[in-house]
Amino acid sequence: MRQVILKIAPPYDDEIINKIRTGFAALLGHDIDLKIEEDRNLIGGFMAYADGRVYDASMKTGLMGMRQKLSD
Amino acid sequence: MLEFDTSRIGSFLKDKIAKYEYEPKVYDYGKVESCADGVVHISGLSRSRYGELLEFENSSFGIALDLHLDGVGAVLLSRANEVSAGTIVRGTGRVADIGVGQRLLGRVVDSIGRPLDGKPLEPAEFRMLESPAPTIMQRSPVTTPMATGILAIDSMIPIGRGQRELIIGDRQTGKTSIALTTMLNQKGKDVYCVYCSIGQKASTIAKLVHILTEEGAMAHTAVVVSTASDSPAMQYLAPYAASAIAEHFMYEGKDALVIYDDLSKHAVAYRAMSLLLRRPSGREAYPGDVFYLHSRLLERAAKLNADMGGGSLTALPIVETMAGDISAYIPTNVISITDGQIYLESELFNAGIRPAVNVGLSVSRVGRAAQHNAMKKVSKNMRLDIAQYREMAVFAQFGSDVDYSTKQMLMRGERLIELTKQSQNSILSLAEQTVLLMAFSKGIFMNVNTRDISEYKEKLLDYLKTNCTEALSIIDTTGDLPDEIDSIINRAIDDFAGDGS
Repeated sequence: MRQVILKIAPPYDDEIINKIRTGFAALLGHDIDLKIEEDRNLIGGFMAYADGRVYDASMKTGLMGMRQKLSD
Repeated sequence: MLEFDTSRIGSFLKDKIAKYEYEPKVYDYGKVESCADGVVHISGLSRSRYGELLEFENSSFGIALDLHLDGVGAVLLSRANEVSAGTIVRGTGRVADIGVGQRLLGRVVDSIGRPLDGKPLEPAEFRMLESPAPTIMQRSPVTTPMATGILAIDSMIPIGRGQRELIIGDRQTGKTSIALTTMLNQKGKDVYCVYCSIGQKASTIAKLVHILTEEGAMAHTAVVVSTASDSPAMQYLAPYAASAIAEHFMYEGKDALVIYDDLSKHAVAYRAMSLLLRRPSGREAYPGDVFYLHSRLLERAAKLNADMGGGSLTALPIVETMAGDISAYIPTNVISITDGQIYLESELFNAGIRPAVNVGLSVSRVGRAAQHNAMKKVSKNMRLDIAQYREMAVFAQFGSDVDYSTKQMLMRGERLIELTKQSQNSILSLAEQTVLLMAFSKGIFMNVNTRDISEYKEKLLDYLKTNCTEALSIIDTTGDLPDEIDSIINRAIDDFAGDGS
């Protein structure tokens, strides 16, 4: 059983959480213990911390990337 | 009137946004385990590289310096209270860099290039803080002088462009003054200056920047500041940042001068950092790589060959000694790395000999080759004269009777020492220095009372500036002293002495 910390921006529902859970279980090849933390700073999307790596699918990082792209 | 089509900008931005494809990112992360005095221990981040920039959760940054199997030791570039145990850290995959180029001139920045003078700064180019020194084949011998405008130095301990000359001495002996005068003297000489303060008082730096601004020297100068209240990491990085800024000018084919004020405080900051990183300590509790700390910094000073653009980077590191002890760990290290040293003594300073250069212990290992011909011609015997005078002066102190020749030697020495005295921030051009030494070798100062030398010197310079303007400007522009100019000036000096002015 691997622990995965999931920071997620509201609103979210059980369906999304289940999708993330099965996705990570398949990715890591293990059953996972999902610890959910609500984080409004992410604006949208989620960030998952597992096995020393961050899987960043947050709106915040997306917008920062867009800002970088526009200023280039 | 210029029409501004806002709809085009709108559609351009819309187009760019539409084309933007966001992909989720995957990167390594670690957690801060402990944090003390700007040094943090992080678990995780097993793939990070040495010197990699780390980003903390609250957007503050650090640099990875100790890599272990299970974690990383890093130093913080911001205040320690912004990070606590449990903070998430991620590696950025890039090493620390700093903005460089012309836009840095006239500016005061910190160790990572953030402006400290309240104005925005948008550097056009960036350069890594740590970069390898030029290779052997990229270098050429030092041939051009780096004039300091100080008679005692330019005549006896000349510095060349691309040289590393250490300024060493106790506190309050005028070390920074020499560096400052050298920077002021570069006005209009196409030399870009970078002054780097390491662990200095903010008030001292403010005073220095004020003088540079007042004298119009900020136009060709950049100042990199880390004050005593900055974290050891910021103090550790400051000289590398200054070196990167100066190096950029060198690789553009220009001449640059960098002053590290001072490397003893730099070593102390590095010691604090290393002890907190739990590295084994050696002599005086400094870590084993304290020599490498300074050698890799000073090796970046060089004179490049023509293929590389022919630029140069002259380094004037400053080291503070305690009670004149130049055999301490850091002074001996830096003395062995540099191409010579200017040794300043408290006794001389207190005796009113300023700059308080001890000619016997000071040396320039490459500068003589770079000295202007004019100066070479007139300054041949100066060191010997002063050395003999000092030796004789010891005997004369006992009040014993001395013979005529010894008395003459003492008188000559006294006057030569008096001649080399120069007030703070005053600059003597090459021509002025040359004619003073010519006048001295003719013996015209021998009939002047020692106390009146400085006044007499000023009068002589004024006289020559009025009567030999052209000859002086030839010396300044060509750096040479042809026979005809020599005889014109000699005649003028005779006339001046004959007038009994």
